[in-house]
Amino acid sequence: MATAGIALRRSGAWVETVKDLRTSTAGRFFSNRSNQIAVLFIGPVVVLALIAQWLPIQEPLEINIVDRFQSPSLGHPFGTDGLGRDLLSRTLAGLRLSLWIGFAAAMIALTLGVIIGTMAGFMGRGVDRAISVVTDVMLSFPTLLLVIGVVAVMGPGVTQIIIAIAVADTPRAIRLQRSLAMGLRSRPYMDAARLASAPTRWILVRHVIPNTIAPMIVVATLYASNAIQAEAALSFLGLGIVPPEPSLGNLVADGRNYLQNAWWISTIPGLCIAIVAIGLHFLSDGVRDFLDPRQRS
Amino acid sequence: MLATKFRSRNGPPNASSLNHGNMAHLMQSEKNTLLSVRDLSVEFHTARGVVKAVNSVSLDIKAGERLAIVGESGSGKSIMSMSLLQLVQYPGRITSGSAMLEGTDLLALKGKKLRAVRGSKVTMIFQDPMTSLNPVLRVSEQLIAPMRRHLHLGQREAKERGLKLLAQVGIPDAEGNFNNYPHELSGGMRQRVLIAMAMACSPRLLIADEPTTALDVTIQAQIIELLAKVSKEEGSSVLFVTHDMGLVARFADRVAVMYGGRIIESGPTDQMFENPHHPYTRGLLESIPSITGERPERLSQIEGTPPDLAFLPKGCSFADRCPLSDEVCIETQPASLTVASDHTAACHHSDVVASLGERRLFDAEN
Amino acid sequence: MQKTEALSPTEPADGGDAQATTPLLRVRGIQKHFASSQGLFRRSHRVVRAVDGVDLDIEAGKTLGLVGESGCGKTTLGRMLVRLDSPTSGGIILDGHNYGAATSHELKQYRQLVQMVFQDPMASLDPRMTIGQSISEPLTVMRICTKKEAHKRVHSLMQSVGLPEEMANRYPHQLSGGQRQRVGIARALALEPKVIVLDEPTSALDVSVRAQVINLLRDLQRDTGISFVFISHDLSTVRYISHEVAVMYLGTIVERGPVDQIFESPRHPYTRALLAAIPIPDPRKEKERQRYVLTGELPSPANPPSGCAFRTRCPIVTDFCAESAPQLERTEDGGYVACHFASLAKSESGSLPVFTDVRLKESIQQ
Repeated sequence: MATAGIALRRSGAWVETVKDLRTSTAGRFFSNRSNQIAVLFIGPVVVLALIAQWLPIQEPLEINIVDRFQSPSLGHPFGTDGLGRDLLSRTLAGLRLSLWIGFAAAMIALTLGVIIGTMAGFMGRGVDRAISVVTDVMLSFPTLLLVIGVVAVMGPGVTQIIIAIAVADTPRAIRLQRSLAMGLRSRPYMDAARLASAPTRWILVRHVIPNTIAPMIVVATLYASNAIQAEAALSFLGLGIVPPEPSLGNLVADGRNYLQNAWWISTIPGLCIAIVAIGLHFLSDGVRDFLDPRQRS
Repeated sequence: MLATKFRSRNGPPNASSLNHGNMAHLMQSEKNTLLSVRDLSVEFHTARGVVKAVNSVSLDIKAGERLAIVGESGSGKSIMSMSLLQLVQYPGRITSGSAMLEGTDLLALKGKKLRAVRGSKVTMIFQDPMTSLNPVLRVSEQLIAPMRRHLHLGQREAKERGLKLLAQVGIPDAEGNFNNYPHELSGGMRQRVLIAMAMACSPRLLIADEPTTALDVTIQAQIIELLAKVSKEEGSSVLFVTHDMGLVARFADRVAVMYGGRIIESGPTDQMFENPHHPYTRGLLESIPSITGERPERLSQIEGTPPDLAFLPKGCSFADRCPLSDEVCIETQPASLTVASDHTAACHHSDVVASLGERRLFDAEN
Repeated sequence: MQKTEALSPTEPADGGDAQATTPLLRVRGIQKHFASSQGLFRRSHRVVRAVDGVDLDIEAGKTLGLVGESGCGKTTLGRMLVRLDSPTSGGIILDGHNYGAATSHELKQYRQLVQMVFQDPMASLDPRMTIGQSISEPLTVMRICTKKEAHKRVHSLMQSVGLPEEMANRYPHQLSGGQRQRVGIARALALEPKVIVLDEPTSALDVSVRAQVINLLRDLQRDTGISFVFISHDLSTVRYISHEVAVMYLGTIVERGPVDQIFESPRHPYTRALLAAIPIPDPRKEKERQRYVLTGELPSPANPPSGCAFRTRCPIVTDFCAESAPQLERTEDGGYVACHFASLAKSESGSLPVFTDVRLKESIQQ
């Protein structure tokens, strides 16, 4: 309310009408072009994936040998595979799994990254060195190799894949948080907080994390997108989700032998991966703008 | 060839290049206007709306003259000076105007012709001497390149001239510093290198955008003295952009004060300081504490803040801070009128301001 | 070398002169040395003496101006005064306690007595905190009062620095530079300190807004009797606001004394050079002025000259200056100066001092 006042004094009447839309949080989120595109891309996909079990479609695991290799039709919008399983329901189930893996892996990397990265930036040289050595070693492995290694040790499974991807992303998150935190260390408002005798905990919670969380959430969105692709790659290679449980990677792998006769088996889940990845990239742009206090007027 | 105009730096030993002498020097070139800017406007199209950074600005610079553009941040002074070389970047756009320099319109130049003018006929030095030099190239490479390009000098000639220039701008051990990287030089030395680069092709006009703001006072004094010296030696005009009225008094022959994207007053330096006709100019002068004489109980202060260029009022942009403002000021934009010879002011009440004499316009009390 | 005497809180700065008032805050022999380690494997530890033995007295209700060029140690000294940096040695004595090597508990106490206002008002406010949250931070952290009281207190603080109450819910980017600096001042006032260290509080502000902030500081001092340490390179502002002035060069104080003495009859050649370098916003005075431009630049504090630190730039330097470092000594008009030849270079009061270098130097060399 009061924020309208003087800053907008010179702005004229049109601001007044825009203001109501702008001041509500949701309004501000959806008034961003990137967010609009992101919602356009992933909105329907997410909603369908979440309500899939209540849709009047065949169960994802139900085999119907008679209907095998059906091309997309009204009864089977995405067609069926070599065992006559409905690909719409399998794709949606796979999507749900992928989204969960992406979300969970990104959240783990984000949380660990913020906590450990802040420690590295603020708890003295010794802690920083120790953390840096570990992250540097982990970053020296190619990501996919690291993930495959972890899965090889822990065995396949959803939880294992989430952990494996999080293990690969966390060092990156730590490095980013560390450099963001270090950049803040010499800010005059940190000095001002010290002059208020603020304990370290206060400084970290009130100043450091709020000022680093926005870029961290932006990259976490990208981590989620990468995680979805990593799961697809792992499953494609046969190291991820164990069939018959559907995942986007499994579905693409299943269809690769039939590409000439039944293109839809691989293509549609592959498109889903691309749509979600593109949508998440737009979302990360939009989230960055959304979290910038300067965009709040 | 322009290069032949390069003169010896041995002047009379005690003559300060800043004071005196300059007026006499001006007399000779009284009539030839070097640069004539007319109706220059620059706009920025942003999410907040159209920011009118420069608003129909007209000004003249005579050959050999030192013109100061004074204003605070957001007054449009930097954008105005950069637009003369078409250096305004997207989303900025020059929307109208011309800038005639010796028969060519600087604002209409394109491509090759524009590049031929930039860095030779018209050169520029900026506020931050660190970021104006490329950190990965040696001083020598940065100094020689424009001379080779514009003056078509060979490598050896260019090097020779480069060394002479470094000595001319007072860099000790020019030979040794020639092959240094910018970070190996201090701020003052870097600004000297930039002046050497700017003077390398004996420009007709040197645009200096706050060239001493990042420097300490003792270094600032050195750089100002140097700017005065080299511009005089090369016969270049200087467009000196600054916010410091003291530097204006020391350096400039004429002053133009910018506020809200317009030139609100301009005239010869002496007249402008002695008898300002615009309340903003007056306020600026009144609010600066002096280093001599009486100390008043309170400083005169201009209330409020500079206008937002995205939402300029329809009347005078200084009206909301001005003690003299009335209905007319809020309703109509004052036109720039000649108030004395070579002295213009854009104020409905310039006569009141001029008649104030010793009295203060801006009340010291709240 | 600087004297490093044993600290005795009762000893006055001038070493024995009985003074009517005991200063509020005394700084004795304060030093800050940084180890600059270079190279990854072969560590060469060079000690940079950023502040090298400084004595200061800050009187209750008065302003001490601290001037010098960048790199002279004035900012480090200011940060030590608020104990953001801890001194390598030396004492900061307030209310009979020495806070020079205070424990964290003592520091908490000290911070209620000495606060700071920073140079860049935008960077000194957390962009994600509202103005109200920033101002109340010290109150909240120190748990001095309840939330409700803190709320009230924020409003009265905002009122006292001339900010409208409703601004409490705004974010820093929504304010102008001057308003942000008012917020910084309000925050420093929140704990009702006895001393505020102001580190270049106006240099990031627009010219037309500076006077507002300076007047605000004067009013606050008049109303609350607070003491200021005003760190700046802007000598005209320092002259306006200070009662005492200390001039720093390369980590030491080269001259200090009452403001009028420093500005009317400065003794140290560096002080004179600084004063001569400041441009006066009056073209006539500028033309009459004999200008003395200090040559050279500040030497590196990592590798200071032997003897007097100023000798590399000093116009009245003699061989003796390289051998022995001058100590701050009392002059007959109440100031202190650290120059072997200060008395010889005395100038007439009332006018800005000018070097008569040639003759003066000859007389000393004889």
